[in-house]
Amino acid sequence: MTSGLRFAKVGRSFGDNVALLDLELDCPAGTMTCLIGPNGAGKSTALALAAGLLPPTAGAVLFNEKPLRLEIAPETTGYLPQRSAFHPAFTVGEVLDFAVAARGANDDERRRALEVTGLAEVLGRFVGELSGGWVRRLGLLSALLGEPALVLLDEPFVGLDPETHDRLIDHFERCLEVGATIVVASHDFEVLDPFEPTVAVLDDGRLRLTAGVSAASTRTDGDSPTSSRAVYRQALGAEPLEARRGSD
Amino acid sequence: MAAVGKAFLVARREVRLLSRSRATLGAAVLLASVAWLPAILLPLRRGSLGVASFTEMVPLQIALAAVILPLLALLAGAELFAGELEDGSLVQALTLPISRRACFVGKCLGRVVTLGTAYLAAFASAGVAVAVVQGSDGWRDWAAVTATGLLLSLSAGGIGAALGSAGSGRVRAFGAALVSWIFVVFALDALLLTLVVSLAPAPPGAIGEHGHDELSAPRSARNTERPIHDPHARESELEEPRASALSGRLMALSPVSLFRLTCLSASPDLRPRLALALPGGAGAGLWSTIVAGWLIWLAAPLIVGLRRFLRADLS
Repeated sequence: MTSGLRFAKVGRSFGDNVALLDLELDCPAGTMTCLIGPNGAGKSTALALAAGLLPPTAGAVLFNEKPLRLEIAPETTGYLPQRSAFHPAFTVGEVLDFAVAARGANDDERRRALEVTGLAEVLGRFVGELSGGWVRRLGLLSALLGEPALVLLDEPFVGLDPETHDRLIDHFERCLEVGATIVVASHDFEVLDPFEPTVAVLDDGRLRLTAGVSAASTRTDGDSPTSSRAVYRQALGAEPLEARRGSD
Repeated sequence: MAAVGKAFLVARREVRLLSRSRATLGAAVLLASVAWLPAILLPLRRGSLGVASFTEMVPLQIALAAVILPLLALLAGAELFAGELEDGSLVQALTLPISRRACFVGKCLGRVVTLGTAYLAAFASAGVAVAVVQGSDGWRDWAAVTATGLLLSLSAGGIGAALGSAGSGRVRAFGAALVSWIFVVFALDALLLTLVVSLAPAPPGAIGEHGHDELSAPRSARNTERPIHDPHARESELEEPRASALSGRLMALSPVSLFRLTCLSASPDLRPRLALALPGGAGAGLWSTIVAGWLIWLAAPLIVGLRRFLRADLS
């Protein structure tokens, strides 16, 4: 039995628009997988499918070999959607309390999530009063609380200040140590290279290449990439311009 | 058990959200208007200030509630899921380990508790005021209309929730709710009433001969005047229960008609008005139709809404 996340011939269409086609990808437990590719490649769709928010139109998404079903709550999943949205009438503390109750998190887990996101200072403020960066941190808190076994993050670095950015990177290390499966879709993927992630390059809904950034690529041109940037270049034959920090 | 706990968690969130919403305040004011207007308007019509009695209020209360409550409930129901799905906050909540089923049940429960409390507060305050000023004569009819109005609101709210549960956006959900309101409250209701009246067996003699009051009187009183050997009268006697049952079922096809039917059947003072359309009166058969009708109108929209919500693309 393979533990971790598996996309088994997964397809997803929105009307005539094919967002994902025959995606075959293994994301083993205790590893990080980085989904990269240009805009509209299907990265966010893949994460939404893994979070159980979208049903696949073909194939199946499995976690620890069990198919994810749409109506079943992802007890083990922490998901940061591309757009974090909380009702403006709630305070940060109320959002946190709701997430703590939903996840059944303990005080230590609550404290750690607050440390990573640095939200302790704004607990009494209403979401409607927060800047985009703070709301993004609140989304991260919701995704990371309770140390879920499957962490799905869609553009986690967007809008974060350097301190929170670094604390998040440190938190990834702790998640991997306890055997979590982390899947990140990001244009800012090079900062994840120290985790030696499996890089999956998507383009136009298709998986173009999968490679470990510190291992030899499977491409036939003999160029063994050692960085995610090189994998991207190999897969798509172009520089990942959008990977440059600040491009978002 | 865990799912029940999660549903209550979502319900508490919904109550908190609604308690801070201006729309809830607006709905509470409108409900108070529906509850208080009949009591205040009727004395004004007589040129005096004061409060009407329960007996005077009930017909106007039925007419007002049949139009306004479905509109309020349909809009509140449509907004239940459409609003939060559109702004993304419900999707964000569903990224936590909360099943869609628990989310659906919890949100419906929270909204019913909040708006139900506003409804009961509005009508109870009006009821207490009328009882203090005019006495308690006819309060049972008024209470029956109030309780049936709650059923009508729950049913219409369920229809609204079903319309907004697929994530198609606020504007479309509200548009669908308005179209449903026009259809259910006006078109379907008028169609059913026309059918019911046309199905009612012709009373002996023309209206001109017997007068309107006789038509409204209990049929048993009129029967005693008929010659026993009249074959047409016996045929008519056999037709009445059948026509009455069919008319009752027809009226159960719309929650608004069912609301009127329930109010008229429940009130001893208003029951004779039923005689025109339902010559058999409010017998046990009619009550089973009413109970079954409400069960269907309360459950069916929620089942449809839950199915749509479970299958919706939420991303």
